Amino acid sequence: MRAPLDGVAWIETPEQLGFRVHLAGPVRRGFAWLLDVVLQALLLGVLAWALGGLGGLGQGLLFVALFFFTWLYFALFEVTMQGRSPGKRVLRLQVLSEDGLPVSARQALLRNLLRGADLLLLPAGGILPLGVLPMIFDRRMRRFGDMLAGTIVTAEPRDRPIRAFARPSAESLRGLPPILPLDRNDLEALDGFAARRHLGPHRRAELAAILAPVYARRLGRPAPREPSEFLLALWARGRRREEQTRGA
Amino acid sequence: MGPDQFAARREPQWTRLESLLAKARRRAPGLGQLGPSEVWQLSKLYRGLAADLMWVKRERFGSEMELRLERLASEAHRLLHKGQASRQSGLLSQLLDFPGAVRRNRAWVLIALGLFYGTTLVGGLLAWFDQVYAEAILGPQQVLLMEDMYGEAAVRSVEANLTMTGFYVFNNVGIAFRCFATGFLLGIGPIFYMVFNGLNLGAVAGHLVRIGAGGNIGAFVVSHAPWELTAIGLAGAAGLQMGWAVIAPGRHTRLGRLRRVGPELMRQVLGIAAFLLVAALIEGLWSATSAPAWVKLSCGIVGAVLVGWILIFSGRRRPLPEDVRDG
Repeated sequence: MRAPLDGVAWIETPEQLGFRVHLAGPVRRGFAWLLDVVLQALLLGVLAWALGGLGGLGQGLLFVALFFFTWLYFALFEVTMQGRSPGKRVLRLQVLSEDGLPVSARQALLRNLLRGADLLLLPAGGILPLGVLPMIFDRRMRRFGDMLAGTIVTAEPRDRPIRAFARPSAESLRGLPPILPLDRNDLEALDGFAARRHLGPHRRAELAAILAPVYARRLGRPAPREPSEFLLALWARGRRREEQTRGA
Repeated sequence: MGPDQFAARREPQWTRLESLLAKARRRAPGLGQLGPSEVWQLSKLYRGLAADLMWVKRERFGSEMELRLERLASEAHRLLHKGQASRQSGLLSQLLDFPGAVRRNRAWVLIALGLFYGTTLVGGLLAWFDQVYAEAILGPQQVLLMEDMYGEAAVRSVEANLTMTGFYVFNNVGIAFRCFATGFLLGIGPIFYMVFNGLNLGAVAGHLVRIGAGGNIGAFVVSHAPWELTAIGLAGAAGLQMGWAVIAPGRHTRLGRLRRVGPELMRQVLGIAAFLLVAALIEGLWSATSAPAWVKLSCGIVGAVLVGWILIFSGRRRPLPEDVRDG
């Protein structure tokens, strides 16, 4: 089976249990990184102020802090905070080992040492770090450091219960047979349609106009006049959600 | 059974699992947060969840339910299995395996050190015999600065010593790490760093010898040089190993090969960092004191013997690390 390009990684456990984790892409990771860098700058500022009175020793310690922030900050947080630096925590990202387990100290250190290479700027444009390249081409969106250490960065998907963007009318539901010739794939496709609340009505109608005739033909009837309404009714009946949608 | 019925029936178990996971997540996360009966319950619920998830997938009960159960499964899985994090030896043990890792990769060490010392020597000789060379490599300002710094014996105040110690930690360990990390790019990074640093170092040393200040810089660097120059070379060697894993992965995929050399690289990087820390302390706190040159020279000799002993003889009785044994 060809793996789909949908930003998920498949993880199999010793119990032969397979599940998906959602991967984080370059943009979300970029924002997390930016947050971390801002935090580092703030902490360094505070340190510089606090160590200012210590003279030479203070300056030396500031250099040590700079070293820490450059090379160890991320690794330390990723080991002690379940794969989350503060920036990652805010953006709900988590570093995991490829087998879906917590990262080990070695993995965290290695992946962050490679920042030294991943953060080199690409000659073209000069704003994109080198590490973005493999992230674009790799199916698991890893940067070089992830590849060496065997880690992935996952994004916690937001809880978005599927509620349709509109209720099917009682009339359109009545027009449907009680048992529909829909298999599980169809139901999943209809789920996907019903959940697309963010689309404008025109785009929705456009999509529905493609999808609705397929199911209308299967039910042995002409293409519906209101394709979007028809699909919603199919979805509600297929999932037996008439009551919920009507009663809500 | 439809999705709603199924969900209604299994909901109590899922909620219970959720609350156990939430409890384990508090403060220092881990199974330690749970009592023995709760751990037992958790593992049972997890197995139940595995069955539920398979059923939900087979029956296609919808991505909503799948998503929720998958998230539960992934968190419970992480809690119950620690994986690498528990199997792996601690950082100290990895550090103790450092000399062995260096010996196993001595070919790379010789190549990197050859590159580094070779360019240093050539650059040094050129700068010694030809006045223009150092200026061409370093630029006139840098040459003046060096002449100024080492015109007389380098002695710093205590304050400056403390500042510089921190600076050496930041700068030198940083250079070594960068030299290693850029090895990923087919080994180009380490080669660049070895040659670049070698030429620079050679130019400075050769030029200062030419103008008769060789003794001053010699007295300054001799104490920490064995640690620092060896470690920079070792960082280059580790970077080259990584580059070579990408170029010639042998029987593995490129990524697979990289993954296999990871632990061996980690050992070397830890050792390199330790060497450079020693070097930074010596360079910051001792090298620029007014101690007579012969004392510093003997420190350098002791350092060189120690470095040699560590790399060649120490840790020989340690068992081979697992990843090396498996080939």
